[in-house]
Amino acid sequence: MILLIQILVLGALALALTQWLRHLPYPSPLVRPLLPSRQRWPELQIREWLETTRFHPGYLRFFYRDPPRMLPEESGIIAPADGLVTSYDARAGVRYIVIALSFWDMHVQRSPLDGRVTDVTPSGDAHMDGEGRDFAFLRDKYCPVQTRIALETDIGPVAIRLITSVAARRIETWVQSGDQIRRGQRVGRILLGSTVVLEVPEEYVCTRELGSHVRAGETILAAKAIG
Amino acid sequence: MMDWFWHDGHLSWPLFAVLVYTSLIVLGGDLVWRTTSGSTRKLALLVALVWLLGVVCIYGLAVF
Repeated sequence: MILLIQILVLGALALALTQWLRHLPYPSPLVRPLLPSRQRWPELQIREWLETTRFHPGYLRFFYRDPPRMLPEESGIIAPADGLVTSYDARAGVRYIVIALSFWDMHVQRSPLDGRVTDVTPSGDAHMDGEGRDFAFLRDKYCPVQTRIALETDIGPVAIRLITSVAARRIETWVQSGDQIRRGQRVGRILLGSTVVLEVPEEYVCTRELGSHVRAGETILAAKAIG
Repeated sequence: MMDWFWHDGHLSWPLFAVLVYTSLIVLGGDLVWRTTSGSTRKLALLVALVWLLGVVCIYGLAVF
C-alpha cells in the first residue's frame, strides 16, 4: 500500500517534470495559470505561432477576451483601445492620438463618445499587404490594412482608425454607417493587431503622457485645451 | 546500505523525500525564475544551495 502511494506521488511528479521539460523555455501548462499574462505567453512563443499560424488555444481564448468595462463618471473622450499612447501629433486641424496594442492587451475597441457612425472605410485587403503579398509571412514591413470608423459627435467629427501590423491578420467592425452609438460601445476588434488611432479636432489635447497605458472605455484620453 | 533505498517493501522514506523534494525544487525554481527579474545565475546558485541544504537535512533527520 505504501509503495503504491509512493509510486502514485512520484508518477505525478514525473508527469509534471515531463511537461516542464517538454515546454522549456516556455512555461509548462501547470505553472501557466499562476503567471501574469506576459510571462504566461512569452513574446518569442507568440512570434513562433505567428510564423506557423498554429496558435495555442489557451492563448487565443486569452486574446479574444472581452471583459465588461466601467465607464468613467466624468464626461470626456475615452480611450478607444487598450495600449500605450505613442504619439498625439496634430496635422491640418486633426489631432491623431496613437495607441499601440501589445499581444497581451485586450483587443476590442470602443467608441470614445456618443455619436452617429457616418462612414466605415476599410482599406487594403484583409490578408494582403496592398501590393499583392500575403503579409502574414512578411516581417518588418509596414502594412496599410486598416479600417476607419468616422463618427459625428457633439464635439465635431471624430474617427477611430484600426490598423493592423505585419503580425495582424484582419479587422472586424461591428458598426455600420448610420448607426447611433453610445460612448464606450464596442465598435470592432483587430485580430492579432496592433494600432488604434483616435482622430479628434485639434483643439482637443491628449490628457495622458506618452508611454502611459490606457484602457478602452475607461480612461479619459482627451479633453478640450484650456485657453 | 539497502535501507537507504528500500525498506520493508517500499522505497525508503529518505529516498522518497529526496525525490519529491528535488522535483518540487525544480518546479518551484522555474516558477520563481519566471516571476522575478534578478540574475538567473544567482537564482540557480540559490536554488542549488537550498536543494543541497534540504537533502542534507532529510538524510540528517534519517540518520539521527
